[in-house]
Amino acid sequence: MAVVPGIGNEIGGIAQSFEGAVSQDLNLGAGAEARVLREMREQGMHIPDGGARVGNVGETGKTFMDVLSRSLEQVNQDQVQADHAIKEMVAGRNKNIHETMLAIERADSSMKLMMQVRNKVLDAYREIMRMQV
Amino acid sequence: MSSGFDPIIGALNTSLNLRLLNQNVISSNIANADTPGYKAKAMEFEGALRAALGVAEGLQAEATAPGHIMRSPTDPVNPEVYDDPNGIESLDGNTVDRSAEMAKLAENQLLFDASVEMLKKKIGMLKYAIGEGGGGR
Amino acid sequence: MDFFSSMRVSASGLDAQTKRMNTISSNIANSETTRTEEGGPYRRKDAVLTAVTDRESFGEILENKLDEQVQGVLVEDVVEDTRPPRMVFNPSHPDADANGYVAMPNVNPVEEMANMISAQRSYEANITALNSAKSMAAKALEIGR
Repeated sequence: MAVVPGIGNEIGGIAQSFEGAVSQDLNLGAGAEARVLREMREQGMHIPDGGARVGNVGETGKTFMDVLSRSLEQVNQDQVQADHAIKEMVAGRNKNIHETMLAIERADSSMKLMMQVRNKVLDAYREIMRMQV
Repeated sequence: MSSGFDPIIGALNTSLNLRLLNQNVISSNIANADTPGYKAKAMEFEGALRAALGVAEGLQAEATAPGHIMRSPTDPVNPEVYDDPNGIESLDGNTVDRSAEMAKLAENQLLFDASVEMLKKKIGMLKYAIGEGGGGR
Repeated sequence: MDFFSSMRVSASGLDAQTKRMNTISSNIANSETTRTEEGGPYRRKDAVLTAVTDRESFGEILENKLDEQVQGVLVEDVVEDTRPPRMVFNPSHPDADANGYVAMPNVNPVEEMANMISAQRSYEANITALNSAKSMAAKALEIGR
């Protein structure tokens, strides 16, 4: 799937500049960063415990980049599994249509979820960039 | 029959073509269920499809030299239509089993519909990604 | 190979079964007829079915060997049953011969009923096949919706 790596690079780039901005000790407070984290938590994504200070790479060992790349991998994995399920069905190996439909729906939903997260991240980024320093 | 999309969509397209051919074969059998001497036909394509998709149980071919030709999922699949050897001859030489043909008809239609649904979903996902997640940003 | 050749095949099946029903009805209606235009009692009729290749889709040239395998059905001929008529002893019948036997048509009602049921089942099966092809074509139109 060529779609996922392209979006992944975009989000990766934004995430790095995001971290750069945060680690420059801009006092964001309860601003964009917290909003993004809240959105991610609501959508069921796993936030590491050191999530309140996401910008500090050294302390928790888990960065925003890690979270993102993990979820991107998950989306890609779902796509691969859906493709595999389709192949099985087309080849007549697996005639359980409901399993195939579920696999496809899961891939579909996880991709849509990721797209929404991407949109929110972009929003947050733009909001930060708009701030007058 | 390359579709320009990813190979799964090409494979689904091939599967739809073959199911259509199967539909024709089954319709012939049903129409000729009373014709004396008519031998019921069957189509074997699942084996050919599997080989094309590379989900065969045994060995998968690997191209180890530049000159190797690999079967891709979008290569045209040549199915065989042959006289069904399992047919039991009735008094007039007709080997069509009506109930079996009706069952095959239903199964074929169902799997055709399922393939169409998969195709819709895959294309839908592509369109969604192209439309930038509905946010239009 | 397309949806429409499948529908034509099923339509040929419907047509053949209808003609077959016609001969069966004719047999049942005339099961007691002793006088016909050619003389003699009514002779039972049978429809002869043959498998034919669908030629409409490509004229006379069979482009694809696979297309040969798809065959519709045609009522080639309506032949008369060659079995001898039933002789029934009935001297008072106007058509009785010198010995008092009347030649009755060789129509066996049980056989005709069996044929009729078979024709009806075949007709319904062909309708199902036709509907199936139609629904597949309609479904294919939904791709991309």
